[in-house]
Amino acid sequence: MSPTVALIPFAILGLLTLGCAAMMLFSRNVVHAAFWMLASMVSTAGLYLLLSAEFLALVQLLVYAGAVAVLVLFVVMLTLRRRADAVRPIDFSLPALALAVSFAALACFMVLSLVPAYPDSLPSVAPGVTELGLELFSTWVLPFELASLILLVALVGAVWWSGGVKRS
Amino acid sequence: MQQYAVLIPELIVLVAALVALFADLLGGDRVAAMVGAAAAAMAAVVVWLVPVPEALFGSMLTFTHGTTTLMLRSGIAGLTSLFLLWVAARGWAGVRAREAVALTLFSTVGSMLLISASDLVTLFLCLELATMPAYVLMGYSAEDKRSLEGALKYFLMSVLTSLVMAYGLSFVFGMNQHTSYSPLQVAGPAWLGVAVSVLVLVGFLSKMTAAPFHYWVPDANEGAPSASVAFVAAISKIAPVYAMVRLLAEVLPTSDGLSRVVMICAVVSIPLGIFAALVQTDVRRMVAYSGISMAGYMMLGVAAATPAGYASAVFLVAVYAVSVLGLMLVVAQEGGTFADIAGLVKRRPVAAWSAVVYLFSIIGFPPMVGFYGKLGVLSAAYRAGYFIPVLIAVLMSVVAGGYAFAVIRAMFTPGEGAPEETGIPAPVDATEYPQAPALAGTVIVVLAGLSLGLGLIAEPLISLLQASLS
Repeated sequence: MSPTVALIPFAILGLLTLGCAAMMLFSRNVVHAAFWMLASMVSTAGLYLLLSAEFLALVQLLVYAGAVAVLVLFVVMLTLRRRADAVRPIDFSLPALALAVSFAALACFMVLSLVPAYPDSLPSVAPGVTELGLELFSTWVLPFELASLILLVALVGAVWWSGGVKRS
Repeated sequence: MQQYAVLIPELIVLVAALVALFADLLGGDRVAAMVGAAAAAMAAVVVWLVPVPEALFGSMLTFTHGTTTLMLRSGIAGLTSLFLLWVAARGWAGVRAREAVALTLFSTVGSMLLISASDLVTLFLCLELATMPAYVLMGYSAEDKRSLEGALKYFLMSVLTSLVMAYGLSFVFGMNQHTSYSPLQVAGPAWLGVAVSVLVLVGFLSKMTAAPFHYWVPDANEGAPSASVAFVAAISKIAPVYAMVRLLAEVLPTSDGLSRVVMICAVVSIPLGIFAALVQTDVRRMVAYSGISMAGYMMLGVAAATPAGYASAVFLVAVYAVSVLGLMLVVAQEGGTFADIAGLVKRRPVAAWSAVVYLFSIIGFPPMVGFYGKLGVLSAAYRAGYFIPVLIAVLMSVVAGGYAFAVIRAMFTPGEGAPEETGIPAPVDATEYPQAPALAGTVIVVLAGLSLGLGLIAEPLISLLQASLS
């Protein structure tokens, strides 16, 4: 694929990601904001796909678009008592803006200063799911198991707080 | 296969954690706590018996620091064992304790692995495994709104700062192109290295409850069961501080800029913690503020950026943990407010005198072990040329005597309508729980003995740590 052809879908997806993120920030209805976030996450998955990182794209769809966005919607559903509560005034906080801008600026600067360290062209074949699985259960087996323990702890905590056990 | 034997201690603790989750089948809370205490004690011994390889899983875990690694892993397991023995005797604030025992053990596994972690991914996951149970423990009284509020503040603050740390670690990965520990190759101007280091340190400093990440601590401590505070404010702080100084010694670039940032945090934390501790009338809140000032003293050693400074910082946190653990266990069985402990010396002389030892160690009064920790960080910072911060820190340690003596005065003078005349014991967290006062008393005396006795071997311990961090 020539660079120009690749640039067009990249530009579309990139603008979609940014546009949806901006819409999320500027929508006054929290339910709408949640859906804009979902759209932004899906277009990010498209960007990964464009870089032929299929596994990452799949994870992005499953975990972020699937689990996280649904979780956010659940929280909204469970905490709102009336439909009118979903509409909130836009909370414009200057310190938060400054913090977000400085974090983003640091990231941009870092990317720019790191670019020469990376090769001009991507490897012809990005590692597929098989290689990833092999890697995950050989080199990375310890972090993998640690993550499972963290999830177990979170599960125990959730059961404890939700009152699934008799507390005395 | 043989090199994996080094992880047997962690596995023992992990198995005990899983057993504690299923304690319903075994007989309940006391069995869970006893199994946990026995397993942790066994782990503390087994650490010294198994062969130690250089590295494991590629270089995810390294044991090159020899005795230091073993000492810290064994120490964490040993303290957990003592803590769980106390839980076996006194229970957990009168609520079901087996889940809390399991969470304590999970956190201990995370702490023990964190000591040998030498990969950014392992580091982050171990740190999360060590702190995740703490969120639940701080909100363990699920009916108590204050406890839940404190736990929620703790959770949000800690998760936020963990994310900032992950952001910083991602830059370290980007610059080094791999996640194992090696000196950071700063691509770009030097301030970038400082910025990355600050981002990474934010995560650690918030776990150490340093200012400006401290505001949740007093509320959380006051609301949470005292047994939870004993674990979270003491044992779970040891591994993070060692991981932090190891990261500073092996990965992050040290510079004047970074030292200056850490020093500012230190100079804010110390007076803030000590002045706020002076006016408290609840030992749990006082412990929270004294923890903030202790984080400040620890940062003096970190800002010195010398092996001696790092070693004393770790030593200070570790011995502070011993004393705070003891003090909070006394609070957990006698009550936290000054009214609760009024006249304690007549009711429970052993607990009261042990508390005196802990308090002297916390404020750094010689010959208690806390004195040597403070002396170490102060002399390291002084040698690094920080005269004014050291002067402030020394003056503040004198002021710190005030809050210790306030507690001691409360214990040694009968309050209004003091219960010792009527013979009714003060309100206790676990009144309904089957108690074994002798066992709990033994734990408290052992911890007091450690607070005194470790001072005798402070010098060799600090130089061992120093050798491993240079």
